Amino acid sequence: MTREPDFNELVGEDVPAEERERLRRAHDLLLAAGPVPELPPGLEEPSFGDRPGRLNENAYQLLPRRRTGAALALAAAIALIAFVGGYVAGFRHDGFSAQYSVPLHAASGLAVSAKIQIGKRDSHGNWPLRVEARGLPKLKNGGYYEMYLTHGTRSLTCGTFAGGGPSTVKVRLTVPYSFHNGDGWIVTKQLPGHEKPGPTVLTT
Amino acid sequence: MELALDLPAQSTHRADRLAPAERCSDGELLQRIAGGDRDAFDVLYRRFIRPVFALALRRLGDRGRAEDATQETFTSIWRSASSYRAERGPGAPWLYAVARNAIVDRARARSETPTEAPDEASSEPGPPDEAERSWLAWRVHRAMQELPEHERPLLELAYWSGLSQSEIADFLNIPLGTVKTRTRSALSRLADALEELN
Repeated sequence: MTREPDFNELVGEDVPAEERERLRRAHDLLLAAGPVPELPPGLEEPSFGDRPGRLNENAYQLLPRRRTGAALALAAAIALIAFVGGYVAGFRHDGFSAQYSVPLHAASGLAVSAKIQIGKRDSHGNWPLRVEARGLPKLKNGGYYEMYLTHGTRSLTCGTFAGGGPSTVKVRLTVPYSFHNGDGWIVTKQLPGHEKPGPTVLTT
Repeated sequence: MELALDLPAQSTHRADRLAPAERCSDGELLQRIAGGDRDAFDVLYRRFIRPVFALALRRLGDRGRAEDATQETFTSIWRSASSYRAERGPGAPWLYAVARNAIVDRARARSETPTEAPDEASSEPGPPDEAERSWLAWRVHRAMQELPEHERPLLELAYWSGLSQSEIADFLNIPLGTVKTRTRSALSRLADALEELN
């Protein structure tokens, strides 16, 4: 049981009677109302499914900028999921329900705005992902992008996608393994005839 | 929990002519939200997220369900803000009704039919008492959001953490005199805000 505050200690003795009565009413109401519960992370910020940039900007401030193309030794993205989770609430867009959103940062100075949204794992263990990126260069000659979950020096593919140019590319991917095995995500550029994985263009 | 918000594009030129959303009353925010103003929604969200969640938690008793109900409440606010009529009263009671309905819906989804009626009357507060308490808590929690950041924690620590004024001074590492001055100021502002909400 929390100690009840002493009204006289709070307001002192030198308050005019009328003001004292007004403060007393506020005091009594505070006691009757009880505490405001701590907000769960998912409610800290409003979020909108089709709100380009907003969610990403907020979350971005929590993350260190990575100016190089280093795709390895990424910060613990899985922990970030929970952290950044404070900036998202579930929403549906094109039938996709996002549980978390993680911003992706351009690794080579590209003006790219991108994020990964993670949906709810189904009963079979599949995790739906949705990648949104604006400003990715359009690749020629059959080139494509590939996303990986990284863990130290290892990486697991999450799928491939094509697209780019001025419009926003939105793709859905599904992976059957737990993200708890990884420490971040990267998106690489894959050109035909080149060794995999190709150069990293986006990182968490 | 899933939100499906179909948001129209924001009208920036319109927003330029209007007062900043932070200065708007709750009712004015609702009117702006009805026109698709996302900034107004942001401000309203920050004002009411704690009262809504507190109400949901009080009613549902489960943080997960309360979180879902809170999200449903704000989805409803976005979708139905156009049904708010300023001439019928201020925004806070309208928002309270929206929140209560969303929470009741959530509670109803969980409720189970009792196999037997209880033999004795419950000592728990009945619906009218509970409604009164909930409305009171709603107003107080909403009013708390009006306090400046340097004052609100003082009341929270004094009333809801049980710290004395000296303990608060130690905890926040500020002089005891400052604690007393700010606490009284905060109580006065709270009284003002509660009078406005009545």
